[in-house]
Amino acid sequence: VNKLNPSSHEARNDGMAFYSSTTGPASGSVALSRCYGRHYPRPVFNGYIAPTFPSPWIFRLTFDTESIKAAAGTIAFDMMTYYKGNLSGQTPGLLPGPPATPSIQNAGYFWWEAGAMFGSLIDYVRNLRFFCPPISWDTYPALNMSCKALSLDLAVRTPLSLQVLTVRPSSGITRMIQHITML
Amino acid sequence: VTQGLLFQTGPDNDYLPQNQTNGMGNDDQGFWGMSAMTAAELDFPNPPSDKPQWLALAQGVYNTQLPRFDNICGGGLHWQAYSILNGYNYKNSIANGCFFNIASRLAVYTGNASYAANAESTWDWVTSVGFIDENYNVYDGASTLTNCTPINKQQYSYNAAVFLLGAATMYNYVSAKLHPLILYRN
Repeated sequence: VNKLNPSSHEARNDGMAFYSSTTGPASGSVALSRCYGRHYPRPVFNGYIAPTFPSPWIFRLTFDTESIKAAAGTIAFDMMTYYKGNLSGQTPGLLPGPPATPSIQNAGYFWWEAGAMFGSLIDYVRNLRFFCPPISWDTYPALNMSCKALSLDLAVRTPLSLQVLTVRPSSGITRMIQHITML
Repeated sequence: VTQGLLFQTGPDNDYLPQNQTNGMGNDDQGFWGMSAMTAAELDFPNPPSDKPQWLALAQGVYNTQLPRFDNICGGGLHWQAYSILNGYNYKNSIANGCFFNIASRLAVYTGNASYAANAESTWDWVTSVGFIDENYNVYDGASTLTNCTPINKQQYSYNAAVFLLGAATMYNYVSAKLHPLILYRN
């Protein structure tokens, strides 16, 4: 179970990634074999079968966003268990390491790897917005943890003058305070 | 995240902290610069105003790397940032790819054509020296002691990846320039 998103086990019950229950087995690999078999002869170069798509626009790939979200959340959580830079006595921005020279596998991480980690983490956190439903104070209680965190972030960073157009302030502020005290 | 990204900026806000001097590669610095660029692009909350902002950090990386280009092998960045370091005698795809990546994204983000020009010249050098071949295989690099030949044909996915994003960003930059109705920021 994804520890960032305790409800995500529901999303995982439908099995494999890239499998959509609404469109049946039109997942990536199946659609790929179909487009070779039915529409195009599979291209052969120098005796081996080319792994390239003959035509991208007949390649149908369906994404299960819940599955993507769950997988990304699991990896993000696991990645951050390596990071100790936020603890007392540790150096912010560093992962354990660096490895000895010559490098020993799993013996630590280089400075640049921590840098790349922060970039991917920002990517993860900021792109949650594409996976969260439209956020309003009415939908807020039903959001999962990740989307709640995102909605709080948006609320803090959106000027009140813009918020009042779409938001019922009294109920919103109440729910926001409830959520913060829960934390 | 903000704490980690700020703690490693170094005294000049260019991701050259003194603790990392003895192993500072242009690629190492570049990875931190790309992360700062991501923070700017995705509107990650900026640090307090007395601290460097995300865009300025990415520009700091770009501005310190630009003078490190030289004419050995006809152009390009060395792997390492300083000539005293092991690995300075190697020019490679990742160092130039990180620079290309940041430069292209700065071009789109700021609209400043000089970033785009330097991204383009970096791409031109990498392809002309053969680190990227006509089939878009991205090879690792070559020694400057032998005029960048033969090429080390190891392929790593991060080399292709940094060029892929940079090339897509340049496509967006050029498209926006060609179509004045497209207002382009991120």
